Amino acid sequence: MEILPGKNPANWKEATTQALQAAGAEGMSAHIIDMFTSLSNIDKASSEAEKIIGSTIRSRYGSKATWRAERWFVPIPQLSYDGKGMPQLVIEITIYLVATAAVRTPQDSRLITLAGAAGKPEKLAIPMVFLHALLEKDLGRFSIVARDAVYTTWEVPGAKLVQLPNDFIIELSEMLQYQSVVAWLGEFGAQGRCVAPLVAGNLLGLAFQDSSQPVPVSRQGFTTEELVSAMESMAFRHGEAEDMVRLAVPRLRADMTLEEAIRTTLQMAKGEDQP
Amino acid sequence: MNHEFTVEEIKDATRTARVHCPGFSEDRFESLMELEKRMADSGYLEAVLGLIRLEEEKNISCTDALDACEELTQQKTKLEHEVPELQKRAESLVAQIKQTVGEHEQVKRAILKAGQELAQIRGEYAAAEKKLEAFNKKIEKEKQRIGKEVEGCYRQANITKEEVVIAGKVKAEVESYGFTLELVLELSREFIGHKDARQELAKGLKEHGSLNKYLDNLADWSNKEKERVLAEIAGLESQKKGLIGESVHLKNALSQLQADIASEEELGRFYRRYVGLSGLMDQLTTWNQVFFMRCGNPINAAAGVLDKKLGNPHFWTDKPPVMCPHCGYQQLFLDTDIYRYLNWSADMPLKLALGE
Repeated sequence: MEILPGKNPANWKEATTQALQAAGAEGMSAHIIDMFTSLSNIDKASSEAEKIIGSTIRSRYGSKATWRAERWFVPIPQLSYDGKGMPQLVIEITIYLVATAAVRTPQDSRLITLAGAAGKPEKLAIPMVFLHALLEKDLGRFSIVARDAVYTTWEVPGAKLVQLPNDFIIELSEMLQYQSVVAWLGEFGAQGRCVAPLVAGNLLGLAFQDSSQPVPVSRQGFTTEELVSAMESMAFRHGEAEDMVRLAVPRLRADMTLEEAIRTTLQMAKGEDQP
Repeated sequence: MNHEFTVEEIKDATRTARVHCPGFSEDRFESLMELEKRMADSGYLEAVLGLIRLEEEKNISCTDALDACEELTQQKTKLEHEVPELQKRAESLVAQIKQTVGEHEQVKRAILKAGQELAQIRGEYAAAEKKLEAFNKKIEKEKQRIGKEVEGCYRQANITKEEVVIAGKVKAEVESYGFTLELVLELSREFIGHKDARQELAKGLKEHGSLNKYLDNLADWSNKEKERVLAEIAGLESQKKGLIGESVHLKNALSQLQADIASEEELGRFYRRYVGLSGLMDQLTTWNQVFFMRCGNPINAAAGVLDKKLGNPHFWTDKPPVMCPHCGYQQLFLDTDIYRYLNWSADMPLKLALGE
């Protein structure tokens, strides 16, 4: 936990600003903070708060220091896009503790602001197919495997079980009724704008999946697995194919077609064979 | 908040979209972004709803509507270019109409005048007929008068016509015997002792020289008078024939003039009926070729049996068409009915040409 310089927060709004500053998430909308406040397990963080504040003050002002603190718990979500396997939007919620403490030492007394993460972060992984179904108001396509007062768990084919807070789903559904996903991600600040193209692209791909025309092989994109398989189909052994692809990796580009990737891989392999 | 993606972000998004939709392109993404922007505009939504309504109610697709709009815009531009020329043409036609109306008025006046002249001629003809009738009557009266005069002469000579005839026969008979009538009379005066008759006969002979001469003179005068009257009658009949001929000529002229009026009125009706289409016809003449086509779509043909409006669409084009602009069906036929109206073989390229 850090001791922050500057003005001491006097209310929730100011505490939020301090928390965002401490988390490096400036630019995040207050709506987002509000959205995750109701979801966060603040009680658990609260129990750790006293210990954290005490340890920080004592380490800084000595063991004889006494204090009286006012605390705020601010959930700060951290967004990320995971494209491995089934693409998903990951929201990691860390509760930040912001405290204004009046510290008294044998020598003097002072007013300080403390800010830092408290407790373990909570992770919400939303597969893109799930988010797409939510936008299409078609969550019924996934079977519910568990539900309690706080969470519901769905079975999403091809993914792990998806467990999400009920309130989050309700609130997200409402939000997405009057704004786009990109606009919603934009409210997360820089991190939201960073993942927005990938999330938007994935959702658009899902939306237009049914209407997509077959793409000629010469224009199809490639994945490493597809490239290895293509090499194997050309009578290279699996190990050889993997080595060839690994060798060609520095020349391969994500926007290459499968045909271009095969040609590049073969050229690289040929170059190595030559003395 | 600005949610617009940069070029790189668009590339990322497109690449990600291709995971699920391999044919997804950057253009498509940009068009979706454009759509999102436009969705914020209520006018755009109204336009979209309008297009949906157009498609649902009129069965016209958005693409067709846009194509038609584009075509109409081009036509509008083209027509706007043609407006000054058409205005000039309209002015020229107005002048022509004025001239035609003037000529029509002149023809009407000429017909009226001819009618008046005809009425006058008819009056003159009637008067001449009356005059001829009166003259005939006069001739008849003259003949009667002459007859009476002859009768008077007969009475005056105390002879009858039969007696004159008999006298003539007697004279001829006498002369056939080598005598003259005078001699016979002399002889009769000598031989017949009828005192009053002789004196009377002598007086008559003294007055006229001889009775035969008197009769001959009278017959000559009568013949001459008859010839004169007959000549006069022949002259009047010739005049009558001339008048009848002139009347026939005027009747023909009247019929011609009436035919001309009917023709002018027909011309006027034709003009009023087709002047509005002259622009279209002029436009069609600018096409190098005109193809009058008919779609061969069997679905429309079947629908046309139930409702003629739903039948195969007809369309005109200046290039050989490859598909029906209405349904896209590729089997097309030349609209032989129109070629038949034009008296033109459908196998030959048609370039419309208007008369002078």
